[in-house]
Amino acid sequence: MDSGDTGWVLVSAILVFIMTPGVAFFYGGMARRKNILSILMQCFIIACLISLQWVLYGYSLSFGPDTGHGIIGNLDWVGLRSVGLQPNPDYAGTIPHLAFMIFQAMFAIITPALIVGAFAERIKFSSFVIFTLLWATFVYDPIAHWVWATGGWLRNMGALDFAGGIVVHVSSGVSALVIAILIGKRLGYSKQSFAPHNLPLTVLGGALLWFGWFGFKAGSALGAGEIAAHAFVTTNIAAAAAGLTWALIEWQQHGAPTMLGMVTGAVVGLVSITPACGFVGVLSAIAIWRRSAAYFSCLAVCCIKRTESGI
Amino acid sequence: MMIHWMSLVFMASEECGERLQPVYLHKQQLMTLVQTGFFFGNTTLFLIQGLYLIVCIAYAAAMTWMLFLLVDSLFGMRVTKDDEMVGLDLAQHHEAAYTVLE
Repeated sequence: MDSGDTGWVLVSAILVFIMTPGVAFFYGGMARRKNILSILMQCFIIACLISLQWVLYGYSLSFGPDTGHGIIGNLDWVGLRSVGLQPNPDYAGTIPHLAFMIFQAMFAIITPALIVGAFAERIKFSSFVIFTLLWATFVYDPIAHWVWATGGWLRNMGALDFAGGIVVHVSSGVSALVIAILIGKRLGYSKQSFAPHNLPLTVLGGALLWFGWFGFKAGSALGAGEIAAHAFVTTNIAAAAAGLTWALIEWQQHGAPTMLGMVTGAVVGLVSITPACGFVGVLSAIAIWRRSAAYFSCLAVCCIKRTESGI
Repeated sequence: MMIHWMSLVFMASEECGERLQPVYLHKQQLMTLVQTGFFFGNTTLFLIQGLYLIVCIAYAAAMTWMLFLLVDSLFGMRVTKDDEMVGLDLAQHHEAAYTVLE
C-alpha cells in the first residue's frame, strides 16, 4: 500500500466528481432560462442514483469476477461484498480496493450525465430516471467490463483505454446521438431563438470540467508517478491548444473570437485527448488537438443542424 | 539516432504485440510504450483498438435504441407540448431559477 498513490487517487476521485456539476452548468447555461434547473437536477440526480447503483451492483457487474465469457461481471461483489481496504492487485496494487471503487464510481456517474444535452428541455423527469438507470446497467457496466475488468474480452485481446475515452465519451456520445434522433427536435426549433440564456454559467461549467479533467486523466494512472505527470501535462496542453484554435478559427470566420467558442473548444480538446493522454508526446498533443478542434467545430455544426441535439 | 529510434519501435511491436495488457496492470510496460511511441509501430494494436471502437459504437447505439423505445412505450419519454412551452423547471420540478416579477 502506498500512501502517495492512495492520496492521489482519492483527490482524483474528488476532481472527477466535480465534472458532473461542471457538465450541469456547461449545458445549463446553454439552455433557455425556463429549463436551467431541470438540467442541473438531471445531472445531480444522476450523481445520487448512480452512486447507489454502483455500490449496490454496478461495480460488481463492471469489475466483479467474470461470468466466463468476458461479457459481464458476476454478482459476487454486490453491495461491495469482498471489496475492502486491502488492495486488489488486478486493478491497483498500491491503493485500497475501496479507493479504486470510488474513483471508478465517479466515471460511472459522469458518463450518463454527458448524455443529458441530447434530450435537454423536453424529457419527462420520471422516464429520464428510469432510462438512466437502465442505461448505466445495460450499456455502461458491460462496456466497462469488456475493456477494464480482468477477464473482459476486449482486455484479453489487448485493447487499451487509458481513461475511458471510448467507455465514457464514445458510448455516451453515440447514445446521445441516438436519443436526439428518437426524441425529436424541440418545439419551435428553427422558428424561434434558442440562444444560450446564461453564458457565464456555461463558462463556469467549462472551467470545472477543465479543473476536474486533471483527475479524470492523471488519476487514471492510479498512482502518483510518471504516467500521472505525463497525462496531466498532455491534458492541459490539449485543452489549451484546442481552445486557442477554436477562438482563432472563429475570429477568422466570424470576425470575433467568442467566449462560448473558446470554452467549447477547450472541452473538445479535453474529450479528444482522453484515450491517449498517457501515451502521446506533448508536442503531438498540440498538433493532434489543434486539428481535432478544427474538425469538431465542423462536425458539431453539422450534427446540431441535422438532429438538433438540444445542446 | 534514427536507427536507434527505429529499433526501439521494433522492440515495442515485438514485445507488446499479442500480450499487451491494459494500463491498470502494467505500469512499467506502459512506460516502455510511452518512451517508444508504440502508436507508430504496432499494427495489431491499431486493429484491436479499431475493433474496440466499432463494437462499442454498435453496442451503445443498439442498446440505447432498445432501452429508449422500451421506456418510451411504457411511460413516454417526452413531456407534453404544454409542459415544454412552460419549461421543465416549472412543469417537472415546480420551481424557477429566476424571479420574473418582484
